[in-house]
Amino acid sequence: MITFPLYLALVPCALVLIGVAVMALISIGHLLHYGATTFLSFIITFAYLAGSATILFITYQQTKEVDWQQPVEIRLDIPSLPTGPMATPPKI
Amino acid sequence: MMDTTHILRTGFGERIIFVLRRHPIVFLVEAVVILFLASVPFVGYFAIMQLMPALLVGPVSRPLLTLAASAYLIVVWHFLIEKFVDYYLDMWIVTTGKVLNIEQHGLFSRTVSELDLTTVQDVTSEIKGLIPTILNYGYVYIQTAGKEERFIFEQVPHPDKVRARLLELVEKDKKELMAGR
Repeated sequence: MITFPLYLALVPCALVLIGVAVMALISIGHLLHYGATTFLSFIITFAYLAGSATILFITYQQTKEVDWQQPVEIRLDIPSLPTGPMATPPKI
Repeated sequence: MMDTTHILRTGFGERIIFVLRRHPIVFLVEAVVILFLASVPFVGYFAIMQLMPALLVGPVSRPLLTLAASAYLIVVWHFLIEKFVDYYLDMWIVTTGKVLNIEQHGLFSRTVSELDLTTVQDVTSEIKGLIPTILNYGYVYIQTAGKEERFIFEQVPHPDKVRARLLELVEKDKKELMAGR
């Protein structure tokens, strides 16, 4: 059985967030660098940022009262096969 | 209108005739697919609610599911801006003297190529399929002299009009060249 604190689950999430944030900055940087600062690009960028902020806010709302110190248990043992009289097949 | 001064070197008296991009429906279809993918966690939520409701109230399972759904949504949502950059930065600029082909491949690859109108030999337009026929968008192939390579305007609106206008410009450009521009 493996036991670890729940806050360790935040690490992969943080890595995903950092990766996405870097890619988003590059995308928006491309739009600015290549002069694509039009109304349409503004609307799409705004929708993207607003959507991302909403996702993060809802995630925060849903998880703000979680006790991140509580242990998570993962069982690796395979349940053993049943033994005893019921385990043997009846003889025909 | 997009600022193209940093990519386009216009000669004396040269002016931009049109700036082309793929038809907006191309991006719209991708956006719909992204929205469809974004709905997966919500469908999953209702499925779990029906099949294993205990998972949605468990002190460990609930935050884990929330984090997984959130990470998935943020990645899928990111595809929206990435697809938009790919769509919006792909463009073809036609001036009175040349054609510029700018293609963005993902976030880290960009190709800019230029073609003089006097080298154009043949221009072909093609509309293929039901939706392109209804919405009138398709391909314009520009064949140049002495080269196997072709310039392709992909999924641009009104390809027939673009071809006709391009041929006019080519003819005019060649006449000006013959007259010793």
